[in-house]
Amino acid sequence: MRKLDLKQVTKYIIMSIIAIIFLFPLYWMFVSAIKPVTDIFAVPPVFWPKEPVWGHFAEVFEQLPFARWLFNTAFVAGTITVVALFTHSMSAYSLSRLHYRGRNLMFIIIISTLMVPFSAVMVPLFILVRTFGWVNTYWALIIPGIPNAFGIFLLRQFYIGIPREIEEAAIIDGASVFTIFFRIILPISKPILAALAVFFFLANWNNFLWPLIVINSNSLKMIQVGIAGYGGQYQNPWGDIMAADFMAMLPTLIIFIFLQRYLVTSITMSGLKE
Amino acid sequence: MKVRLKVVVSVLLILVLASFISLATTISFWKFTDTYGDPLIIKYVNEWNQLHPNTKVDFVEIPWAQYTTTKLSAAFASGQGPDIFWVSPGDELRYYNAGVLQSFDKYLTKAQIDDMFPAARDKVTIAGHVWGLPIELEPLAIYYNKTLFEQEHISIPQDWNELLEDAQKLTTKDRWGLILDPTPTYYELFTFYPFLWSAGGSVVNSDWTKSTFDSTAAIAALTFYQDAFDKYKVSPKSIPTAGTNDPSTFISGFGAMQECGEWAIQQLEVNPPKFKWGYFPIPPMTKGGTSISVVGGWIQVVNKNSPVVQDAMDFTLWLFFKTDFLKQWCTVQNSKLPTFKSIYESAKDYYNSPDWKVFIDQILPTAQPEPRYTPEMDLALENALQSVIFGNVSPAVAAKTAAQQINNFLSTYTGAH
Amino acid sequence: MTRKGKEIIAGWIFLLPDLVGLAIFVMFPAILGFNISLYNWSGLGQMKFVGFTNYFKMFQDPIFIRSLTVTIKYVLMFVPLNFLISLALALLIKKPSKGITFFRTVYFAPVAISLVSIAFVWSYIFQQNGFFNSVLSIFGIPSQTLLGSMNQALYIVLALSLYASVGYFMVIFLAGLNDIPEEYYDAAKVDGASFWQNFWYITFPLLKPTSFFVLIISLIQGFQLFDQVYVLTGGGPFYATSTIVYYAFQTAFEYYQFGYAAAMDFLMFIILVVLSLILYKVLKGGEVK
Repeated sequence: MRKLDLKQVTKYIIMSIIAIIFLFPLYWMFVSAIKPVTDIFAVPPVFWPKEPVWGHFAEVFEQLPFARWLFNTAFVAGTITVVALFTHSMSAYSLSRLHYRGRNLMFIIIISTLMVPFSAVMVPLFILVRTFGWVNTYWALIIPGIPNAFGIFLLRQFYIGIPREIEEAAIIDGASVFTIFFRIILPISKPILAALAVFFFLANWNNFLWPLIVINSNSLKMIQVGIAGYGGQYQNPWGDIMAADFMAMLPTLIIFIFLQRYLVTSITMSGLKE
Repeated sequence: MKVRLKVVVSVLLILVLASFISLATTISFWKFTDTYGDPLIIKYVNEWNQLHPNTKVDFVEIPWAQYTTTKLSAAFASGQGPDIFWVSPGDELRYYNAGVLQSFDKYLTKAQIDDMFPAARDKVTIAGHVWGLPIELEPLAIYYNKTLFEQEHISIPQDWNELLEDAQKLTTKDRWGLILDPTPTYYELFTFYPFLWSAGGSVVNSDWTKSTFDSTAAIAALTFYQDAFDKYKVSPKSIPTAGTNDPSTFISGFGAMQECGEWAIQQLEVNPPKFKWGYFPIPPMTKGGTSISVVGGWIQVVNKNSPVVQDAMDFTLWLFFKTDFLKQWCTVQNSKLPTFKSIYESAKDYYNSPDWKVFIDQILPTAQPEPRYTPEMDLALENALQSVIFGNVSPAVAAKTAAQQINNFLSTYTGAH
Repeated sequence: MTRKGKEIIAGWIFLLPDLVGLAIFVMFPAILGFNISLYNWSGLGQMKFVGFTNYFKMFQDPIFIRSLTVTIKYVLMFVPLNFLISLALALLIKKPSKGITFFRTVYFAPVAISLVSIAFVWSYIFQQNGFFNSVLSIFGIPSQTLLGSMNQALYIVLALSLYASVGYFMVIFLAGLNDIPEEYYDAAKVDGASFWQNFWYITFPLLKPTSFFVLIISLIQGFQLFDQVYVLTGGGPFYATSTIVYYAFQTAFEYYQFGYAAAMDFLMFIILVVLSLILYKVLKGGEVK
């Protein structure tokens, strides 16, 4: 009994030290958001300002269409995530558990799209999107964001690890591929789909370069592009920028907190006997 | 869920299509974002749009760091640049050489051209013709912590030796003596020119056939940088902001002195530091020499290949000559020096304040406009600076290498200067 | 139709949406983009065909060679460190216990922060008169130049990358760890297996698919390092943190040589494809047999 406690205590101490290190930048962001300009780069560091400025958080909403940007980003990121989860799990299932000629070649080709640096495709893609007439619209943000080898790759690896037995019972019963996919595979994918949902939402939430190129109107901007424009050539209102970034970070964290219990559901054989 | 998604998407599609059905022409006006200055431009854009509902101006603000690099490049690379945009002298030649700039010759009277300050007129004149309208003049100086100077009994340095000595006296564990720009950016080069010129140096000869950078003057300037950063360690090799054009580091007391521009005056009023501040001209290399500062400032240009060139010109000329824009831009929204004598005269009250005295009386008369070297030349010069600050390269070698690279480039360059 | 036949059709139908999307929005622009490497183009005006000149130019360009070295050095550090730290974190937070949600969220949180903000904090902490040096002085270590040093700057970029990534890969490992049916551990417990035995004989082998994924993705991210350099050092000081993708970006968008930049991007692409194919063969595609 004693031995177990010591292990637990050590574990918690280690986890706490790591947590402090991880939390420090978050704390610094927050405290910078409430500092007056004279304190922001002061040395020795000001750990809590004598005269905190709480106005930055509200200022952000007043000086910029911040709420609109939050909506744009949530809409785009949310749509991409939902659609991508479907298409990617289908592709991943196909690449991992169905058998046909050319399957492995397709996998390699798809993964190779991850190896193309974005700066190489940026201009041709922009020309393409412009030809479709999508510049400065939500289409340009959503459609090109859906096909992504990352999700396909992640799900494929996950599906490879699922024991064959799970499908065998259904195959013997004569179930079609579609039934197996929707009734069996998809439900047990919850952990990995949860992870992917968080990642996709996050990646698209914080996306910067592409939304910058393809959107001109202030009312359609995504949050990181909007925040990047805060200030001017010489003035960077660090207090406001930190306040904005701090708030921009919260939605993804909240989604993570909700979804994280799915990440830890294990597969149990018994769950399939239903 | 899926059905609702379809409905939302369809509604959006309809809205998007509807927005294309307007019959008016639009003039696109691109500029880098300035949360503090842009409301002024937006005010005039709205005014124009009310007066001219069929030729509306669409004002687009782009984050500063991505303005010249990705956004403008991608737009022009895909064949559709904006109709009106702001350009800095560093980019001017590139657009000129590609035939993108619309000439202003036919649209300006001789009186208007003469009304420009010489530095401003030089900015927009290439090969004897005018290709844009200058907006502002932005000279550099060295800002200093007056309170500290008084405490340490330091007087304003009159040459580079004194500058380094003062900086050493003021450098402590928690504070740098003199903040110069160490970032590998174009701005670093901009802040180097005053030192190069105050030593009597230059980069190229007047007809751009040969580089003059391999000279004792350039080597002296590079040596000064190496002394400041490496030998005496009075300048920080890394700074917490993206560049020293942001005076927040000075305001925080990060450094006792900082080379910065006239734009800082307004920020120092809005966010006053905890000490008294002032500024002095960048000292000449030796006592009694001439201090030569560099004058920056953006230019508004019109895209010659725009389908609405005439409307774009109309708007630009209206904004500059028929409204209060320039005066408001320089004296109210920001703290900048104007490009037209008439504007300066009409704002005498503002410029007579003690804050402006040194810029106007001492710095501006000898200041030179920001050069418009091509990116290849900039690269050679930036490498010289970076190598002496970080790479332990001797200034003589750095100057020689840069001159060679510039000469190599010039031998194949056929554009304007 | 046979079951096999149905499977083949289903296989292609399932793959179609993503395949078409990738073909239109990635492969086609990539081919166009790489094609530019055979030309000289400033982004304005005409493109001039120059064949393979840009490729020869690369290997005579000292800055390109330096960027290549920096990239390789970075990858050799990032990939193993990222793998080990995220795996360790995942193992730490796998079992539900009091307050575990808090720890999971904290470890993941850095991934949600924009890189610009992390860079803001990093550039302040790693100033020469900054926080990090103050901590070092407590242990009697003298002040380091850190971000201003050509030798040390890359490590600081590495630290920023790790900070911003480990939570991400931790989550992936977590999902992978939970892919392993509890029954296997229960059976091992009956046999009295220790933690390390559990790890070597059950966890690690069954984690192969996830490990393969983490390896390939971190390899790709490492080779394509751009964002972190962009926000923290701008490739400096004096190209000490310039990576290939960053240098290519600068070449295109700051020095207006799109053809030359495309050549660098294409070389990067080939390197990654070759490396990944090697890893795929060696690790058998991360399949568990």
